[in-house]
Amino acid sequence: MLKCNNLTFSYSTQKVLKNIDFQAEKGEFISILGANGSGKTTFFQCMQGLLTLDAGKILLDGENINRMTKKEIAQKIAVVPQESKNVFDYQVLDMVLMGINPWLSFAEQPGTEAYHKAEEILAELEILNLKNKSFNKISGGERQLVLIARAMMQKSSILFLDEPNSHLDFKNTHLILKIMRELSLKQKTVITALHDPNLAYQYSDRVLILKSGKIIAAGPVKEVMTADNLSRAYEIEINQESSIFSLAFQKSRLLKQEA
Amino acid sequence: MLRITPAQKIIITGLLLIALILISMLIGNYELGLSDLALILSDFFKGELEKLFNNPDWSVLYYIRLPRILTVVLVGSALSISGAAYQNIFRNPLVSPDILGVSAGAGLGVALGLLYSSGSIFNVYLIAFITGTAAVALTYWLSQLAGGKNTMFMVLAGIVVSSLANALLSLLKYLADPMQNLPGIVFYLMGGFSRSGWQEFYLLLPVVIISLTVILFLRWQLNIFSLGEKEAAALGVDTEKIKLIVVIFSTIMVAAATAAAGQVSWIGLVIPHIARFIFGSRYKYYLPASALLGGFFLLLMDNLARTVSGAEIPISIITALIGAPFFAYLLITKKESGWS
Repeated sequence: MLKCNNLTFSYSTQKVLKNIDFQAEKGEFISILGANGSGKTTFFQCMQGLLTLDAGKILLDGENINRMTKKEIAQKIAVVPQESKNVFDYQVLDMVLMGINPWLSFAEQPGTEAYHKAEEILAELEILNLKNKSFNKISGGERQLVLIARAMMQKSSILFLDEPNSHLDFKNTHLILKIMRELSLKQKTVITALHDPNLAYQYSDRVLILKSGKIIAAGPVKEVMTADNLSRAYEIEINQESSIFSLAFQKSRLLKQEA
Repeated sequence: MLRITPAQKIIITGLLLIALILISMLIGNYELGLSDLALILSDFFKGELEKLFNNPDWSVLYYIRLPRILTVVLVGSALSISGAAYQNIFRNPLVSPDILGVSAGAGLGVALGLLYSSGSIFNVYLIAFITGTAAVALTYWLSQLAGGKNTMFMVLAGIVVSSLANALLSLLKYLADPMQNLPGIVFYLMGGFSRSGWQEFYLLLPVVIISLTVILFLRWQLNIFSLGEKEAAALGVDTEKIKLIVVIFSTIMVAAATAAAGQVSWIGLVIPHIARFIFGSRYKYYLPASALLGGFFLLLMDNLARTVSGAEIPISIITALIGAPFFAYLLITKKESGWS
């Protein structure tokens, strides 16, 4: 499926990713954890073929990503960006339709079939009522659902989400991750960067922990997500109690309030 | 309330443009009434050419007003289409054809052509074309040196190149003979259509048609492009290729428009905003709407330019006087999309 061998990348002189080996299989839900600046976003951009590597290679279904066109990559990888507003506003249906682009030839326009498909996907995500609304004027959670609908429209086997919940509330965060989980059960590979280890613990099959551009731990959730590994990643003492991770100082604060 | 679809709105705009073209034919110092126009048309369709050619009304209409009106419409369309294209490519609603140094470069070419070529209009065109395109090439090259693929660097490099071209233009004006050449350069660049004839029209027509067709073909990808280059790339858009094609064709249009009519300001910035406000962001409607509205508004302003006072006022003065306050109004009310 997706395979990175010895991936190394730097911005001018600063090495951002160092000797990353990574493999994702069909139907896996993989979370990438790491402190701010640990290289998560750069890692995603490398895997999309947007950056030129210093060393190593990325294989997508056995093919070197550097030799693939943007369109070929987009047929296999869909990206759900962090929620954002557009400079120029579009209707929700138009935003979803844009997902069909990798399957259109140069200068081709989406046809009626694509319109029906887009409506089908919106119905599946229970947001068909938003169809004709302006993308910039719906709520943040709704926007994220629309972007997921667009990714589904892309019919790709791999989904990338870079901190999909960064602008979402508690309910929407879990709603989005639940949908991602369901997609992975339908044999899509979901790879997401998350800030909250607890979310990663609840939803993923495997976890990859990055620190300063290096993998410090990778594997099944229960093996890798230990208080020890997380403390190393975030450089702060972390406790684990019945599968919930919290920072050590949180506990002392809670105790104070009780007393 | 009756809902009007964007397609219907486009038809209405087209009809308004045709009506304005007909009205414009009747405006001017030489009196030409609706009945005269009807007579000319009936002679024309009856094929009574000899009678037609001896009618002075026909001469005024065919040799002076009609080519001027059609050239105005083409220039307005060209500037608006390129403005609309630039705004999506650079994902910035404040971008206009003046950035990237096109207008300044073409303006420099006009001055060079007037000073050093035989003075034939075709040479002026050609040189304006070359310098306009060279300015964009320089902008592109500078931005590659400075920031690579980052679009913002292209805008900044455009400012640099514009300043350079304007400085060279000032130098040319300074060196030009103040009695013989200077007034010609100044008035040419202030913009105006008083010299527009069929020659200008036929030079502009293919440029506008070809560029408009190319950009219309890419309308779907341009929609996606406005989400930002990274997002567009993730959706499979060949961003480098699209950017190159659209910038080249937009530039050719602006260079041709500048060669034909001088530096007409504000149209390329304001019209796409109005179009987006009325027709929405979808390129399918927004682009043809920009073309029609650009032609409509510039024709309206040209009519003002030649009727407000006895002597004709340079068009760029009118477009700036109306365009600038109107744009301020848009900014303050934030009514058009892209700002909300």
